[in-house]
Amino acid sequence: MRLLAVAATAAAILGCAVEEGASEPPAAPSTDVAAAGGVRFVDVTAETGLDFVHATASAGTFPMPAIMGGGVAAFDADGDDLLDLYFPNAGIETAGEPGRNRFYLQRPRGRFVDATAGSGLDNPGFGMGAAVGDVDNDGDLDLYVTNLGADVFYRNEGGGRFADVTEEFGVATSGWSTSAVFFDADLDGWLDLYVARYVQWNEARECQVQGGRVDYCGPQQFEGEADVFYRNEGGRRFVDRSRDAGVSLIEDAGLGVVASDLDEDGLPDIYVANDADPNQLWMNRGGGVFEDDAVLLGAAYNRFGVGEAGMGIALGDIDGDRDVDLFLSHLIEETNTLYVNLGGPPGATDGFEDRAAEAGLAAPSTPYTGFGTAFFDADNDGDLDLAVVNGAVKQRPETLSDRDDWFWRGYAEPNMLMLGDGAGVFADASTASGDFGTALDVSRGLVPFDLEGDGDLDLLVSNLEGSARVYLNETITGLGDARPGAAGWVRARVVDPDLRRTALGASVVAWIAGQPVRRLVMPLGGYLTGGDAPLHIGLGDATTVERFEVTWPGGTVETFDGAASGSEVTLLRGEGR
Amino acid sequence: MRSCASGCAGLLTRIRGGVIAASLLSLAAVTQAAQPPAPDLTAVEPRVRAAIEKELATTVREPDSPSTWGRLAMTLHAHQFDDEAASAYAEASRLAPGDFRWIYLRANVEEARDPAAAATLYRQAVELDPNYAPARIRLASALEKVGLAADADDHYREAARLEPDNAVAHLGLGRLALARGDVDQAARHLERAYELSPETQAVVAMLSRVRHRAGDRDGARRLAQAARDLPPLLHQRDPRRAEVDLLAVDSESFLRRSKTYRETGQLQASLGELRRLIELEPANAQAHFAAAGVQDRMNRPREAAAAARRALELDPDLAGGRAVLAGALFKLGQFGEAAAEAERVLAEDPADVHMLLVTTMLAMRENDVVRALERLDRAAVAGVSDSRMRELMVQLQLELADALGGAGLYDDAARRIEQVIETLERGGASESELRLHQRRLAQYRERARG
Repeated sequence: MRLLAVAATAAAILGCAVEEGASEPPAAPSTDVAAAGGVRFVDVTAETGLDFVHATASAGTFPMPAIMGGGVAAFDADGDDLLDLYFPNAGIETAGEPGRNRFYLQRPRGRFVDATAGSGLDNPGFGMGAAVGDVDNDGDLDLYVTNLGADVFYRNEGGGRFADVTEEFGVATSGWSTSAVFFDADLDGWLDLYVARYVQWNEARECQVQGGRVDYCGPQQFEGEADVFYRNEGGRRFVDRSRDAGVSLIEDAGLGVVASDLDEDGLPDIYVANDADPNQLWMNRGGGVFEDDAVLLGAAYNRFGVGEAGMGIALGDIDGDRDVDLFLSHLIEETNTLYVNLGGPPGATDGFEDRAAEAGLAAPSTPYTGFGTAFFDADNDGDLDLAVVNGAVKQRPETLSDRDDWFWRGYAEPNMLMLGDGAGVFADASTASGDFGTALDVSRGLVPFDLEGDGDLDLLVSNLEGSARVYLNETITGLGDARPGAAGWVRARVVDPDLRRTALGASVVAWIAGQPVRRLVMPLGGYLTGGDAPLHIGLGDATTVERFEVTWPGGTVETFDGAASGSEVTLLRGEGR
Repeated sequence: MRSCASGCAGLLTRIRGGVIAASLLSLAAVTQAAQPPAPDLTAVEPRVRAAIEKELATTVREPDSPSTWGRLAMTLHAHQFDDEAASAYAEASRLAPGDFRWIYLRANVEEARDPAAAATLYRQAVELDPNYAPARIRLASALEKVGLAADADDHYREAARLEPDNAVAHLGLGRLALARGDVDQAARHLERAYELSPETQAVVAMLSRVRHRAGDRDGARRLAQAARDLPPLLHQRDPRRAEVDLLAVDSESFLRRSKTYRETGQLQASLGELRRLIELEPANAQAHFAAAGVQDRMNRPREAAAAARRALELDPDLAGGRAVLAGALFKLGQFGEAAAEAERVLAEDPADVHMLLVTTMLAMRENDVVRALERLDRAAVAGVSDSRMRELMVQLQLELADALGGAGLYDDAARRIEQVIETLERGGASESELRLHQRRLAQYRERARG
């Protein structure tokens, strides 16, 4: 009765008459918890031993870099098949302790141990984020750390030890680097590198918001900085090809970056989320040349034609049409943007269209500033869901955190979990998602990964001025769970044995109950986040993947036998049909 | 009464949060009548504090006056005390339910943070004044944000009927038509928006999309290139909202208003805002710097140089200040000083295109072709994204090509023309413009061969 009263009031306010029928309203995403699937995450940080605390020692002084950093890398650093963690820090003394970067090795059963000492990874720079890739094809993952100031590149020497080879490889990128990504631009088998750069920050500049209150500066106060593209020369060094590639022509405030073949022409393209500037869609024309087609293809601005504060990027096929859609997280008072891929012939795509509102992703995002984001299957139902971690860059209009002794309480925000229906519409499950949706932090990095190997994806969140957090997915207890709704899963590694590494840029179609589910083989991304994790495919009610079809970089297609729920498979190039 | 048919239940679910919030706000307004809000003024500029405290005091004295509550709300709104402004607008609306202004401006506050609540309030505002086109447009925009495209289309259409020359309305109609796949109708509305507002990024970018979808890939690409250099926002005429913006007295607001006026070509008004700020804060380096830029745009190099010098006196590290000064000195014919300032900028930033072009011109004045070519090449390498800089670069390249051609150095002249074409292509030049230079390029190549 109470609900009916609210409905009647709403109808009156809106000028709608329930009894009259005419116009067609859009499909409305449900906010009902039961309909949302009851996905639930629990903060288990203390149990994991992860004790990283990000600190900039800048309370009350408002240096802009302090509010933008806080990324993370998640990758198997020591070859034991468990994801290890690396956290860039601000490199500033805090209460007598230097805010150094930290490296954690994962031990069995989801325990992390601080392995920074002796790892060679204790770079003292002002860290922002990281990218991960095997640049010399020697079978282990190397690490690129972005800084305010010169970046650092570490070669993996095995056993959790790394060597600083920045000078040798020629990648001491200057300025203010943010996100970076390894990808094979020219399909020569060697991973190239794209580094997004932000602005030419001047620490003397003090900024005020309306009303005259001092706060962190925004990007409009500074000149943007051109991004950098490095070509990998045989795994021995990188050469700066930014100018030849065309990427040095635009100086915008780059934050997020991903690499994927967005026009299905066989070559990986680059998409850059810019802060208060139009985004770039660098279409790979071959021969090391890129052309920015973001405006032309509808991925530069939001639906209103306005460049927004682009932060993090998520990629995936959210509507089951087997092309790659893009999601961007944005500033408070803006809406997050979902660029749905309109398809088209290979190399001649019709572009993208902002359908965030229709997907239910626009309005829920306006109260928050989004950063790290990822599509992942939270409930193993076979559809991609979406997580966004939030945290303001200027004092919020209202303070949400009750931590009175914490300077950043005015910047803390809750995270968002949106459950997809597989047809491009999402339901807001944030408040019902347990600790993930209710914690109030200033969050930046996000990694979906299976901590305890039980077949569901947990979440790692890196925070500014606070502890990193691990949220355990309690939705599904794993294979053999007899509860209704317990869904199966398959994990797949997609490897090119000739290159001795993950075949970044490949795509996999898993046939489940006669339906194709497409997933991309790409590094972890989002915002200031790097890493390498196996593909995770939810099966819903099905018990098997019937077969896998892998499209390898370059376009070759192979078919592999399927796998039963609970399996971990490795799809090796050359061993399919 | 409009109908939302069988899907009202879904629509209700979608807007539930906003409607409940709006209802609660109204309820709060009723129960807390005549209690002015208590904004935290501890960290704000003294001018802002004084302005708000003055309105608060008036409201305490006249708690039954809707216009007093409305004025308080507008002052709070202007300084981004959104919660407090919303509650004051609500009280003004409670006291004067038929006054369009208070509900409309309250919807403005909600627009950015809760589009569903804003849509509800805008609908009420439109019922009170169906002929105020900006309200129709803002309602349509809020409806788009919550996925109610069909309703949004109705209101854009009505706005276009009320104001046939409203570019924002045509942009909205074109955008929605494109989303429906109606490329012809999208093109019709967007071409009209382009006719009305050719210098707006949103219009040009959307028109580029339509032409791309219509198969005109080259035309689309040229527009897409051009869109990058245009001002991002289409400033729609909204006198009601402008009254709020003018109440802001913090320094950032003067600078912001000045920028808006500059972007819309109202240079005198832009300068007026800066002069008011300088009167209030004579030592505000940003204000002097911005004034230098506006004076430069008004082609008043003497005033621009003076303002830039003052800005640099106040803040010697001011980004861009020295470049404006160098440009102004060049225009004044004070070439030695211009060169010195330009070189100082280039020592800091060797890729500053503006200064590379200024030093190119200085070298050309001295007939130092080698140096001019070196600077121009560096500018080309750095690349330009600003249309005025691009125009200047093309002009210099053409002049140098003429000089080289005149000296019989046809290969070198041809290379300059190649650079011109490349620069123009990046700037989205038309085919006819490019054809002109392609003919010239062919002539130089022919002469080089023969």
